[in-house]
Amino acid sequence: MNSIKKLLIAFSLLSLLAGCSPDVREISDTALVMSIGVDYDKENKKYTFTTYCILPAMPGGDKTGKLSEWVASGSGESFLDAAKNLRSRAGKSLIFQHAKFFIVGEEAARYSFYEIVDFLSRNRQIRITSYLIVSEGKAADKLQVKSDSGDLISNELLGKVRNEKEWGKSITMIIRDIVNLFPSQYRGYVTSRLSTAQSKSKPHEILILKGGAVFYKGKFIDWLDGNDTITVHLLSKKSRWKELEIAEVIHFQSLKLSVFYHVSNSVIHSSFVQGTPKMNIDIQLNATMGNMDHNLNLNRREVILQLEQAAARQMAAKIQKSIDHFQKGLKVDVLGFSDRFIQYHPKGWTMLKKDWDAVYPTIPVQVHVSVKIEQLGMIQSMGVE
Amino acid sequence: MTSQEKISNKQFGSLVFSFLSGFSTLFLIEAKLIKQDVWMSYLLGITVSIGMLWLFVYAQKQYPHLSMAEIFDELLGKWFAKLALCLYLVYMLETGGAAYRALSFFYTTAILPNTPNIVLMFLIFLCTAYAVYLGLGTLARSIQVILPFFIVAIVIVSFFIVREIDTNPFLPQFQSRASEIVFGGMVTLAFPFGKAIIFGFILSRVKNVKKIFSSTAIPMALSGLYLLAVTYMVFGSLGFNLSHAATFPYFSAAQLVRFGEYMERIEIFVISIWTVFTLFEIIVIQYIFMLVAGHVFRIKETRFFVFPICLLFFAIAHKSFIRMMDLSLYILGIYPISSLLPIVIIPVLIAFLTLVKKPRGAKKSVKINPVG
Repeated sequence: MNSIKKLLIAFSLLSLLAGCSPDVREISDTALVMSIGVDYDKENKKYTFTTYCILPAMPGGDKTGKLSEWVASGSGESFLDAAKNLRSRAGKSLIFQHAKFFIVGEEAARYSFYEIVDFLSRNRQIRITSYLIVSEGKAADKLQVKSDSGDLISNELLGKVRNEKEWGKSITMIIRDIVNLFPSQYRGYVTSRLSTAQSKSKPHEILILKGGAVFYKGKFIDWLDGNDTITVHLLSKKSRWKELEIAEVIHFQSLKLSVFYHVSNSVIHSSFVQGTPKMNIDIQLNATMGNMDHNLNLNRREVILQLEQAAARQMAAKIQKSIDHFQKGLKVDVLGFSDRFIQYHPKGWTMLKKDWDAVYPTIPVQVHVSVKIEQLGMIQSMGVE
Repeated sequence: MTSQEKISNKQFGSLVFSFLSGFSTLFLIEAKLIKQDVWMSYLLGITVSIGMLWLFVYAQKQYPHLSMAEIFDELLGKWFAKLALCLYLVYMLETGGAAYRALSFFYTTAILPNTPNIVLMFLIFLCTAYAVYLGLGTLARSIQVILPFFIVAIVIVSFFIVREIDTNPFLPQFQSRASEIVFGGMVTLAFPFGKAIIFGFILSRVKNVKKIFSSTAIPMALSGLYLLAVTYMVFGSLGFNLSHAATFPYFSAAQLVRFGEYMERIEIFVISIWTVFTLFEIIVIQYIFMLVAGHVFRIKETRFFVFPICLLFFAIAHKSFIRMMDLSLYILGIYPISSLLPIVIIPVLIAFLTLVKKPRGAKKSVKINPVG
């Protein structure tokens, strides 16, 4: 009798299984949100919340094995209100845990970024490892664009972010970094810029992830071009540059050589010289020969040394130009010089921080680049008589 | 339940470590307050906590055949001892209630938003009441099984979080005022390290009384090291601003862990550690509460009171710390002061009286409560 009782108690536990829950969601009733677009209309003070979803299962079974895309938008007075109003158009239960991309429209980034960052960091379903991208124009339009490869837009975006380390002309930040840097009154930060261009092979526009969007004091300030984002990559934390591969055309004597660089080391030193702040940047690059337009005897050591010096000079000038743009054009500390002074010169920083906006553009920055051409490729030079 | 069952020194040490390492890393309140200088507050908190527990160990060594509750009787007299022990009962109720709430708040905020707090707390009550019923020996043996899993999980999570750290997050040093460090030390003393004082009531249940201080001090120091390492990783991987803003900073830092591009959500390790260790903390508090209450109210067979005592903890937790902010305000505002009496003042008094009074009659003392 006792064993029957125990058996009945054990069976009663089966009612706790997930399948018996009234809160169960069938897979055919769900839509997995892969990317989210946020727009803001400054005049009407309205948000538009756009989701790019995939439907894991379609009724009828004729599309077995294929994922269907679905884009839906909702508007509202706040970010959350817009997201909730989206439900009036959604016949599916929206699952946000897989959302990897947050595309913020230009106007939203400029005028209502606080609310967006607050929502993204507060919501438990959004992972802090998701990417935030700023779109030229409206974000909703970008999510309607067809991909060039025919793949899902979210996969295409993920591929573009993955490719950043292979060319450096785009820099995408994760939400963790944005939330951490957002309150800073001294430094800015850069995340990637999303635009569209006409496809050369298809009759529709395609997405382009290139350049950067600069944020300072909680709002979007300006765009950066691809060369400037390379500098941001080079002078960011090690995880940014350790796998970076950047291509560069070197003009040497009358030749044009293409090389690609890997960063061996990148260090920013801060100091105070007679009470004046100063920055020293030291970058070590390893180069691999890509191609050249005429023959050059690379077997000679002095040729290689001259080539390395020319490459270093060219790279240093390029980095210096970007830094000048950050200091004198944007007047935004996107490289985190202020962090260096806070960490390593706390006493000097107490004096400096009062006038940081005025001091930052005047800080002398010395850039030193060294290049070592380590690899020549599978040939050393073409055998031209 | 064997009332006189003794545990080994290693088991006791494991119990102390797991007790202190439960939800100490959940909020990191003191770290948010003192930032990079928090290690000094930790050092202060650990040193004072170890010192206070040493005072109990000293008293225990003078009266090796008595339980701590009986030593209270011996030194303070019957009624003052009851008063002092009642203060410990209140202290355990507030600490246990906070642990109940901390665990349920975490689950309802981060994982189960649609589950009512009371349901989670009721499940905690059921689980911990059963564990208290099983007794100290079972508890000590089970922690020995769980501790290796904890170490493996922490090593894995730490390895992947450390990769996210680029610069030393504890720079610049010595930026806080001495008063801030001392206040941070008081917060750290109250929560988590000072809580270990209740282990004074089971010192008589440890096999080797001679080595009892090292069995206590080493796990306390290790627990401090663990808390410091977690703070370093959280500051380094999230940055100061996000660490300060995050409700559960260590959980947020663990979200950064991923294997390759798609293997994510490794924070389940952290969740399991918090859950198991916080449950252990609640179990230990309830168990010691039962022993002390048994002595105060002269209950001979305490096992019949396991369920009502655990139900009392459940009720206290249900009616306390209604909002999550209440919990952090309590830990920052009230707890550092209210806990001084059980953590510092009474142990100092007991040690002083032990020093003054000769331990005469320790051997001939009659045990009132067999579970003590």
